[in-house]
Amino acid sequence: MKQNKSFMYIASFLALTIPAPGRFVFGLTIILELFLLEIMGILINSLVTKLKFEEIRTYFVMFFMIAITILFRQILIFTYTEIALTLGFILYLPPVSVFLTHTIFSDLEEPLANKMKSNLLSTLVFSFFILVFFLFRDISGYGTFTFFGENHRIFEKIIFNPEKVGIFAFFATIPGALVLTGLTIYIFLFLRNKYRIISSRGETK
Amino acid sequence: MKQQISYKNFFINYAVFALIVVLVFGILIYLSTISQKSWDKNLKAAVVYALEEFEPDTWEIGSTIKIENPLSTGSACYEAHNKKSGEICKAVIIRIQTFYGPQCGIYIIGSENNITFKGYSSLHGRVARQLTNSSSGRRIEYWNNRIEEMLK
Repeated sequence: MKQNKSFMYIASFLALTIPAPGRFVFGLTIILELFLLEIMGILINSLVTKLKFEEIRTYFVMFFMIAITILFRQILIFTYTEIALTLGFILYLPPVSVFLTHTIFSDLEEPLANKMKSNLLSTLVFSFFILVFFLFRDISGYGTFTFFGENHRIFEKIIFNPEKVGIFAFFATIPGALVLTGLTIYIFLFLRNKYRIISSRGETK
Repeated sequence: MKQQISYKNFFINYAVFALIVVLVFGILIYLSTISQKSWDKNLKAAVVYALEEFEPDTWEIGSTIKIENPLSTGSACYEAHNKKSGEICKAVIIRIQTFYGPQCGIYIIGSENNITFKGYSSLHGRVARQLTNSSSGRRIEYWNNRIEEMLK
């Protein structure tokens, strides 16, 4: 079970981080989408229980997840069209990522408030690592910092001299992203295991 | 009798489900239709901004040219007027898969269908320099051919 969860994080991290350009603004967009899908997914799941649609739960929830993704894409077209154009089909990866399907469809009997709290907490931790990953790639790889700018444009601040291409520029590339993913997942699982050991010690005492 | 009631419930549930599905589809189709305006307008602004940066005081971007191709979901095309030579061209912004992930490339298609790559929109710094240095590569050539096919 423990190993399955590790695989879940690895698969989701790869799906969400590798295809997108390694810039902070794109990472933030994906995270916003992930949060919207997580919250709406839990609410729709609870609606399915209320309406007693148990036999069509998967179809119903997945239909809404894709619909919410299309809605998010439309909002992005209204606000930051260039981001919507650059990300393209990548916007459809979060709703089918193992992380989201696992967190939404597990512990269905749990009360709505508890489930919302625990799921949002795990999404927050996962998102933090994704954001740090994109921020590191943006600053060290591209030598810039990007954010949502004015007039539907991407805000760009050049941090490092564009003339100098250092070894860190490797992290802006897709192979560099894969190497960095390996390191991030290792650190994430290491910290998670340490936290588990510390918390289980507290329980035995 | 019991079975009749359960059938009734079954059909009510599915009618509610079908109604929700139709409603959601309606909202999405409506939003997709009205967002087309923002797509054209905002991407035109991006093309204007990028071309002004690459070749200042040269290009005047006009109205949208409709692309009758599935690739239109990842691109936009506009009329472009070269203020210096007076040539009527087309400007295309298109998503290109690069070594650094997808980027928005900007192309100019001349009056004799000669395609020129101008650069990447909203990309500055060392990666922009790296990508621009390799702009004569096969990737750009591939997209030159694809754009030609796309606008036929």
